[in-house]
Formats: sequence, structure tokens, C-alpha cells
Amino acid sequence: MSAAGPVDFVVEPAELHRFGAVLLSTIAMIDATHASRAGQPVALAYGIAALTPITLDIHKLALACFQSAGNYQSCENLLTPSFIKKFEEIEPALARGIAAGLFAVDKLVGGGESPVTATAVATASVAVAASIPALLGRLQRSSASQEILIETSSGVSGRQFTMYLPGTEYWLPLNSKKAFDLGSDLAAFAKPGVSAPERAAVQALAAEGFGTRPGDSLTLVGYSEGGIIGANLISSGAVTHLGGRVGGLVAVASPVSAAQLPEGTRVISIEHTDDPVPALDLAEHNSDSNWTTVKLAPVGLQTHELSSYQQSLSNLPTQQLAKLNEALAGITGGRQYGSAEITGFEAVRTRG
Amino acid sequence: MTGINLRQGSLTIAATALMELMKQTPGWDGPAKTEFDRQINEILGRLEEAAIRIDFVHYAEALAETALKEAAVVAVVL
Repeated sequence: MSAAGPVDFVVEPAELHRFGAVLLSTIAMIDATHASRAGQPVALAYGIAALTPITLDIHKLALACFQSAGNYQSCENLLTPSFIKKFEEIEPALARGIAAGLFAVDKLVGGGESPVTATAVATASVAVAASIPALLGRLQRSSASQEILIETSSGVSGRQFTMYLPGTEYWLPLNSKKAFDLGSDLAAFAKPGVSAPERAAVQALAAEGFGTRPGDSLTLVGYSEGGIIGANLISSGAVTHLGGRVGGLVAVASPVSAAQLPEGTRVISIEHTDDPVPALDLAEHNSDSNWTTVKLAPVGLQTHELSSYQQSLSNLPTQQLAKLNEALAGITGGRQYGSAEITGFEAVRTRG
Repeated sequence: MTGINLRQGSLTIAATALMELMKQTPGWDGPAKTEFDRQINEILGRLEEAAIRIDFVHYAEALAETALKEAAVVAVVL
């Protein structure tokens, strides 16, 4: 075996910096193409969905160039990390800005937000959903009926409410009676406290008497747009305004990493590794003591489908699933058994 | 040159800039360069596919708009 020869660096760190800068500039060029589709809301939304995963990968490559340059120099580079930090700070704001622009376009073509009503349509007795797969089963039911579901049970320290919020049902940027449509999706993404589903959810919680008794606690469970709505209900203060407290949020396939939640809010974010939707806010939130991000390997090609998430969860090793259920117990207070009452609410826009 | 539509000018410029990056350091060789080129090529392929799909949606939407306008004209005439 021959001894390794001297290491010969054939690329200068300065060149790697330049490569990183060129890569970042291509992201700006790609983002600029969105403006050319401003008059066509469908093409615009599709363009953002198609190009965002690509720009994220270019961003990663640029960071790799900067990091490699730093390693070559074997010293701290004071300028580059601060530049990268600043860039990462503005990315979520950029994503929200794009959503706000799209929302404005939606209003121009006759969509946008409107008054909304939440009407109770059915009530049933069920077993308490005490595990992550059980929550996804309820979400599937909520998505199939396009209803906001509220599950109520009695706990040791007070009543436990769990609200299930479905994903976007209607994707055309035109007048729609459905609250979970493209318009509300964009409005919710742009800022909390505006979207029709958020207002419908508050009506539904009030109808169920949430916050009227001491110890009332709410767990929000949302799929896709439903996850953004859940995060917004917490960050806008709408839930605590009703008098109850927030247990936490379980978001499935939702871009919630950049959500501005009160400190200490417990969150479980379940994402597929190649589902572009959770990445739409151009941010990542690593797990910490209050926040659990679970990246699952998708099953099949429909990486954003709720059924695909259910399948991926069923393939999760028992230990990992137990850990996830433990995190859920931290949100719900550890309910395991017993019965609950579940009510479905239909959220309908009331404009003429 | 990739098949990216010239109408999407900025996408073409971005793709060209990415392709130029691969030619910048002829002396840089080895696994890192191979991986760098592979990733750039992969991004270029995805950009091209995305551009084609976006074009398709763009034309479909434009077509639907035109059809709606024509239907409105026919309705007024009738």
C-alpha cells in the first residue's frame, strides 16, 4: 500500500465563495420568473410549487460551497456565516411576501376572503384518539367530509378539546363557497388572523363552549392548509382569547416551520422528505425540547397525500412511533382511554 | 443549451449561469468536482422539466381565459 501523497487543493476558497454567490443569484433569477406570471394566478401558484424545491436545493449547494471554503481556510470566516444567517432570516419573509402578492391577485380575480359561518352538522360518540395514527385517522375523516371536527373529552385537570382541520379542498382562484380554498390558503400563509377557516374555527370552538370552564385545553391537528390554520390560531391569540389554553399543535404536511408561536408552544410537525408543501415557507425547524420534526420516507409517488402519510407512519419502527406518541402525550396531557364526543362543523363562505 | 423556453427569460439566464459554473475551473478535478457537476446537472434537468410543466399550465390557463371570454361574447350576441 503506498503512502498518501500531499493534498493538492486545485480550487481556491475564493472561487468557492464566488460559486456560492452565483448559486444564490440564480435563486433570485428563478424567483423573478414568478412576476412574469402575475396575471395568471393558476400558473403563478403552480410555478411557485414547482420551482421552490429546486431553489431550496440550489440554496443547499451554495451553503455547501461556503462551508467548504471555510473548511479549506481552516479558520472562522466572519463575513460568510453572518451573510448566510441574514439570508436565512429573510427567506420566510420572502415566502410570506409571495403569498401576500398571490392573495392580492386572487382578490383581483374575484376570490379573496369573505364572511364565513361554521354550522354543526353531526355529533357522535367515539373513543379518545390517543395516538398519532389515531389523529391521522380523524384527519382523514375531516378531509373526506371537509368538516372541522372538534373532539371533546373529560380529563383530570379539565376538558380536553381536539380540533381537526382539513387541507385545501378547492384549488381555483375564483369565487368559492368553500372556506378551505386557494384564497384562504394564501391568506393564511401571508399572515395570521385573516383567513376564513380561522374565523370558522373560532366560531366552532365558541359553539362547543371552549374556554367557558376552568382547565379547558385545546390540541390543534391540521393537515396541509389545516396545519397553517392551526399555527395561525395559536399565534394570533384567537384560542387563548376564548378563555382556554393551548396544549399544542400537530401539523401534517404543513409549512409551519416559520410560524411565530409563543415560546414554549409544543409542536409535532410530520413531513415527508420529498413533499414540497412543508418546505413552502423556505424554513426548517429542528427538533428541540418543545418542537418535534419527523421526516418520513414517503410510500409511493403521492408524497403529499394524507393516505401516503398514514402508510409511512405504519412503516415507522415501533420505538420511533412510541417516541412520537410520547411527544403527543406532552401536548394532550396523556389521555389514553375513555370516550369523547365529536362534532363536525361545515365552514361555508356567506358572500353573495 | 437546455430546452428551457426563452419566454421564461430569467429561468434561461439561471440555467446558463449554472452551466457556466461547471466550466469555470478546468483544473478542479476529483470526487468533489464530480459530485458538484452531478448536482448541477440534476438541478438543470429538474429546472427544464419544471419549465415545460409551467408552460403547459400557462397555456392551459390562457386557453381557458380565452374560451371564457368567447363564451361571454356568444352569450351577449345570443
